[in-house]
Amino acid sequence: MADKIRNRNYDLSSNPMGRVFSHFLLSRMIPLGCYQRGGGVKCLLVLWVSTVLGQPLYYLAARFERTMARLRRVRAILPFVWRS
Amino acid sequence: MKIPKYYSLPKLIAKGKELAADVEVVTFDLFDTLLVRRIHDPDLVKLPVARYVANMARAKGLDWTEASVQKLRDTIEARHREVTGESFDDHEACYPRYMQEMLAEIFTDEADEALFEQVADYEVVMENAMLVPRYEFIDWIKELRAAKKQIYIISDIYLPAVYLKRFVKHAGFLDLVDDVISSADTFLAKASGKAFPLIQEKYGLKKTSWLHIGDNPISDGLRPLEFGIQALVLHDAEEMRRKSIIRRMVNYSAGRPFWRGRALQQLMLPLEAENVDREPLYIEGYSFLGPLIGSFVQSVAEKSRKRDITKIFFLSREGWTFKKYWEELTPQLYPEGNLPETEYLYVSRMALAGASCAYSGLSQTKADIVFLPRGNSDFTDLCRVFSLDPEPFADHLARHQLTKTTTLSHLHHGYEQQNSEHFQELIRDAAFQEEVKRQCRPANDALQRYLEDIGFYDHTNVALVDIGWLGTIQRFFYDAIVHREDAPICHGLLFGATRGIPYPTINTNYIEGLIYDKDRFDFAASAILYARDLFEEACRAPHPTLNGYRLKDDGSYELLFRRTDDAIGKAEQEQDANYAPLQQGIFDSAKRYAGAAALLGGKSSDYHAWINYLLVSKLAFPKTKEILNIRHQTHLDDFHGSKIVAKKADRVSDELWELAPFILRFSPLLRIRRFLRHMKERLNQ
Repeated sequence: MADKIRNRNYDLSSNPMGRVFSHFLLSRMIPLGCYQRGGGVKCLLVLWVSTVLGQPLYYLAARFERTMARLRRVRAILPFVWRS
Repeated sequence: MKIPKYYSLPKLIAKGKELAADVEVVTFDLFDTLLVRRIHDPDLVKLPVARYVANMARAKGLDWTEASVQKLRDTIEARHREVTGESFDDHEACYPRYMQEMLAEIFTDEADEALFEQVADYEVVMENAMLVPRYEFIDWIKELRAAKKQIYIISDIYLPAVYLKRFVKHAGFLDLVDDVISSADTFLAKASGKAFPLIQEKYGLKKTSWLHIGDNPISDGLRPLEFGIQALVLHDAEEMRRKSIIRRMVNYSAGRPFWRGRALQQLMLPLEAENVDREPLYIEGYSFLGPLIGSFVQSVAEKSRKRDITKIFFLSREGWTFKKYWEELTPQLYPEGNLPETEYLYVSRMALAGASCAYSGLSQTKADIVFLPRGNSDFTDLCRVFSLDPEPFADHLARHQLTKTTTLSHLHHGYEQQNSEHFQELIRDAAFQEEVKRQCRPANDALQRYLEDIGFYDHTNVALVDIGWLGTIQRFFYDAIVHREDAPICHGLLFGATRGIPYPTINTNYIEGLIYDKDRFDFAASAILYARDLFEEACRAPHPTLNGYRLKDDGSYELLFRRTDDAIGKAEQEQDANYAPLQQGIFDSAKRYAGAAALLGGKSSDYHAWINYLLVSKLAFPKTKEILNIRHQTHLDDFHGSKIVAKKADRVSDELWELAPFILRFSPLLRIRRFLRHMKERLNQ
């Protein structure tokens, strides 16, 4: 059955971000080896969201770019906001 | 003035087609419109060029680094833009002018036109490696061309049109456009709007019959509208997403090495029309084995430079794949050259086994290696592997209470401890060793002729590159050449070194596993042991194995290859045909690996964490369909013999990669159980 190297989410079809994430969770339970600090929960989450849920989010970000820019300016002055 | 923005390419093209019906001229922006870059930041493409210039400067004894070259380039470019800004509205720079000035500052008198062309060519190669045409636009341009419309490409960039034409030609649509115009040639850019009157005058275009398409709301939207041209602006949300993903991966790489390899793979991904349907095996070759082999080959290049190796011999048959990968990888990754020569060396365990005994005789360790495979049991198997005639050994065997069929392997019927003791006595028997040397000498002489023929002895430091695992080939090979005074130092660089039998490491002969080495504790990399045969089969050359070296009557040599018409030969051909898409995927990944690795500028060790992840996730925790898809159908060779082992020793293999589909799918926690067993075995080692 034919498939593509890159899936529609700009991810590796044979090793998508979800698999990296589940491997990360497994590595928390069993020592799987040296991954030089691994991927990091935050990075994994951001990339998983960008790939899996990114399509509508980025469409909205492009469509309402000016509004988003204003929100970013507001976010920049808030001290406690999570930044990716 | 309202700028018509479109958030997806199909919508923009639909509107463009509607408007194009009433116009004679359609102009396009080039970057981020007709061509997209694999990388999010175009400035990153300049870094490999800076590295290239710095390496050339260092080779001439000049003290330059990648960072200092890049800084100089930026400074000169900024100065040029400032000077241009005094006479023109656009602060544009022209690549040949500022690059020639930069090269003159670095290389002083040695900076000539040829050097500039060399650097510019590499910049074009790197740009071409990163640029991908948007096939939906190209299809539309074909339609416009068929409708006799005039088509121009206009770009605001520091590269003159002659370079842009090279990009467009590489992308395959130069013949579809009338001309390519760059702001670097005239310093009149779209950003100020000055480019449009210039183009109108030069090509005699009508404003009212002109449509412009681009991605910048000012240069490609506002300015043409102000000039009276219709314009459409692409604000592609999917492109934003794609660039955001690669940007994050590259940024995360700085603090978390794990993402370096993933960023590399992201840059290797096929985009646009490149991403076509492929067979599952091709995908595994491209996405799994390709990066592993790329990292290995890059590591070979790094070690070769560090250890002053002047020639690399890729050992048959797996070396064939490594050599092909090397040839694709090195021109882009190491444009300055300064790498060893390469040669494909025809060797095999069977061919070298006999030749290795011509001067040193048959050692106990070599005999032990023969009895490692379960199919070998007696002296006839030893003779088969070492290409010896058993008949002249009858008296020697009889002296030690042995016959040629006495069982010497504990896995087989009829084995007794005393057989091994008698065999050890035989090995220590000088007369026996003399007969071994006599029989092996012609093969060794033929090997020497072959090695002299390919210039093996012209070097003092050579690398022997092979897949692994015990280093048997290099062990036999070194024994066959060590008697010569001009024997070079042999640096054995293996994909994986399992060292089942300790390797006799000395200063002039050693092996090192680059992806996995038992002597370097790396638990994740040891996952390679799950499916060693997979790597052998995937990398194997499409020619039969070498059976030996024959000395001809006229003193020349002949390479004897194995027949291909028997069961083993046919099974091998079948396996090769099965793995053809896998190998194609590996080879196709080489150029992309080279481009991505050159752009990211990392060493092979930077990808170590991701390579470890690939090994563990794909080999220790694979999906069932991956195992069924990737695992080889047959793996046979003459070295392994064909004797049937005793029932009590005939344990059915329960290795993960050899289990039945039903067990793979339904056995609870199978992979975790196997992994824990693997962990225990490695720790016990």
